[in-house]
Amino acid sequence: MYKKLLKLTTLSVASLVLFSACDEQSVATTNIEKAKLGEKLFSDKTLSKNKTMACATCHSLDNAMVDARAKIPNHTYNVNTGGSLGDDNVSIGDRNAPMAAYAFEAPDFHFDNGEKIYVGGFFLDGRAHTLKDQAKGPFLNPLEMNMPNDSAVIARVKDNADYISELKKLYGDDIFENDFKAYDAVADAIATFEQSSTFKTFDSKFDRLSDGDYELTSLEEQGKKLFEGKAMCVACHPIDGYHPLMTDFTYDNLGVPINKELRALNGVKDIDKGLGKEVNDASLDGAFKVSSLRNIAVTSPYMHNGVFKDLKTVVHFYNTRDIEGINPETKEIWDRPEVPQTINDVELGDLGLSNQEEDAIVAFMKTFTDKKFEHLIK
Amino acid sequence: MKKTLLSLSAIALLSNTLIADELSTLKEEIKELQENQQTIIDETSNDKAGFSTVDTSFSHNGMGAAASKVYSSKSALSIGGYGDMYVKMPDNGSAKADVYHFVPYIGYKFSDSIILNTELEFEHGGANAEEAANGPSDAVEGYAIVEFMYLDFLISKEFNVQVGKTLVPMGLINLRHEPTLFNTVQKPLTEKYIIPATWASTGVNTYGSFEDIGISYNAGITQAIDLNNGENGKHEQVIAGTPSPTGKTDIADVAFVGRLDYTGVNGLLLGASVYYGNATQGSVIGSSAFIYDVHTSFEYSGFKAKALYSAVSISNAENIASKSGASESVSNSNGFYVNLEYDVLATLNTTQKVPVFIQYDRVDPTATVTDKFGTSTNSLDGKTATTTFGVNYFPHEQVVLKADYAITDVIAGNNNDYNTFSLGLGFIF
Repeated sequence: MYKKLLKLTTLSVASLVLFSACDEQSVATTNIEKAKLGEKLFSDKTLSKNKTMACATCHSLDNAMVDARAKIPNHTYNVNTGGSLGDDNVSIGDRNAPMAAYAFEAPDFHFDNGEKIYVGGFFLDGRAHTLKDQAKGPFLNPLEMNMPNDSAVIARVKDNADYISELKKLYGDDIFENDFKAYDAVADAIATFEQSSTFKTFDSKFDRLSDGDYELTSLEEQGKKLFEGKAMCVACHPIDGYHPLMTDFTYDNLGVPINKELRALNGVKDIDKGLGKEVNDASLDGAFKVSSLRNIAVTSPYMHNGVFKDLKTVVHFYNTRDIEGINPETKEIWDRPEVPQTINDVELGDLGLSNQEEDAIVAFMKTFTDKKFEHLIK
Repeated sequence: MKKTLLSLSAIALLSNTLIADELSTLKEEIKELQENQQTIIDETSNDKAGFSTVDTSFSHNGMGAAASKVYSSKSALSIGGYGDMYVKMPDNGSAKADVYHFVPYIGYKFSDSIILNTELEFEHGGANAEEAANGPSDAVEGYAIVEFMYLDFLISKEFNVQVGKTLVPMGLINLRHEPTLFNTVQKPLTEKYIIPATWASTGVNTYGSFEDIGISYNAGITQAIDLNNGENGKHEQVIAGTPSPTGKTDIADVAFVGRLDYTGVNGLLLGASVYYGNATQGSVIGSSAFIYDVHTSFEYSGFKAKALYSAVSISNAENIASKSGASESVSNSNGFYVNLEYDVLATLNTTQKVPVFIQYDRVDPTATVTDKFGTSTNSLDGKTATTTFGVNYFPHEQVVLKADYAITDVIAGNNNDYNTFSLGLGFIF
């Protein structure tokens, strides 16, 4: 009996070892190749209707992954207005292009039964549940790349012989037999690129501080204490742990006013209900995804609609929203919120910060900037 | 007449022999009855609280005394257990009190060679469905589970077979997690994040000992851990990979677990254990997990020393990162601790003990993490070095009161270090 059991044990161990050895997969190599393909697709303007716009147009790899287009000649549009000019050179979106760096770290959109809140997802209203879903969106958005459908995108992809061979190699020879599958593969390649080191360097001063390679200045140190304490920033932008994403991936209505300048350009009249519209819940009207604060100092304009142009204005808004503070950009009292009935009045609105304390918080947030974008800090 | 006398003599002799045999049998039966009666008295007398006391010096296959109780119990049914609770006061957060464990062991001897052993665990005060649904997040932590439940087929000293859900025979704490067996209020982090104690899983375990050469062993096949979980790339990835204590758990993949200990020198334990198997429960192909530890302890005249080093190596961790969509997956972890203890009452003629101790525990649960492109980097998530010193008081060998002060150096960042003063109590029965 002993011998049989020992034999069985030995065989089991041997089979485990062999099983592991035989199943060696070049997953990493495949992912690297997918990312390379995704990088090309990400920057390819031919995948928009008029061939003027790519993913990289609104998420510039050289400019902190946001829309950084210079003022467009003979056009009233300016990226600092908020929103982004579409491929048709006419349409202007009503929301500020979010930073693409570190975006892949968000969990898939879901309802947290413990906390009883919505968490994760992509786009500012969470309408794309996964990173791949998000990558499919802008191609078909009439305000953005304006392609009529996924088949039209795949037709453009097929114009490029390299794309055809690479997609077949990575996703199978039959990938083009079904446009839906091919479109899914294109989105997968882009999503894979968005998970590459291009989008995550974790080398900001804040990260270097964590690694013991940077020491905060006294102003930054003061800002850190305020950020974690009096200003309550960490309630939604936690900075504990290693390589924090500086967001809790939840949704909140901050009482942001309408961006009148942008609305004057794009003509939008409807209230932007954000998450409330997506989940059909009026109690969540006006709630938008809590953004990562990584690179926040170089990703102006701010808020979901780009209404504020300066980071200190944002801090001042959080500090004085409910006490009739003055918007330093308009020199007027803060405009009323676009959706006043659901705003968060617990963690912001009247923080009692001094002007110097606001400066300290801004100084601390500048340490969240990736090394390669530090030159963009003003 | 002569024949008649002879016959009567023979009958008398035979009768005497029969009577002598009968008396002998009766004596044996009386003796057996007396033993049974004594056992019943032992097991039921009021002054022993309804069951036999635990033999604190007894350990079966390396387990703690209370967990081993059924093996030394004279009666078929055995009830033992342990409990501990603590108050911790960190200088970076609020003080907390926790009824950490209350754990009954229930064992039953079907025969001298077939034994059932179970551990029922109420942790963090047990479970309360209403509080879990509506109360503070801390309330969700409480649970009531069957920690282990196995049948043990005792064949010989050298070879025995356990079938069922058993404690995984790794490290110093996992098999011996009763509070009288470690001196700190909290278990060392090396035996939490590297060896994910307390770790129990379903499988078949063989074990035995060769007393003449001081060697004991465990070897078995058990449910593999699942490292493709919600903690990928984080310091809790390994501990989150142990089988869930409740519900139907995956067993698509199994792993080998082995352990070898040497106790040939009085007071010395020297050993090692290994775990090798697929790293996930079938969700990821081509990734395996190898966990090992080397451990030692030594006791001499009131002095005790313990040391353990453990490491985790996960092959093709990029496959896990790729499959899960998480940014990274842990590919290497390691940790070690050293614990020195001296009983200041060792030289006195008393059964009470007052050991003072110091422990250094360094853990790096994310020594390297690997992304889906196969790029490995060093992460500092969860990397800490904790020095703990304190004192225990054993008013009885089954009861301990603990106090310690832990100085935790969080390697990542600055100003994240913290100190914790803790008080605890524990008991076994």
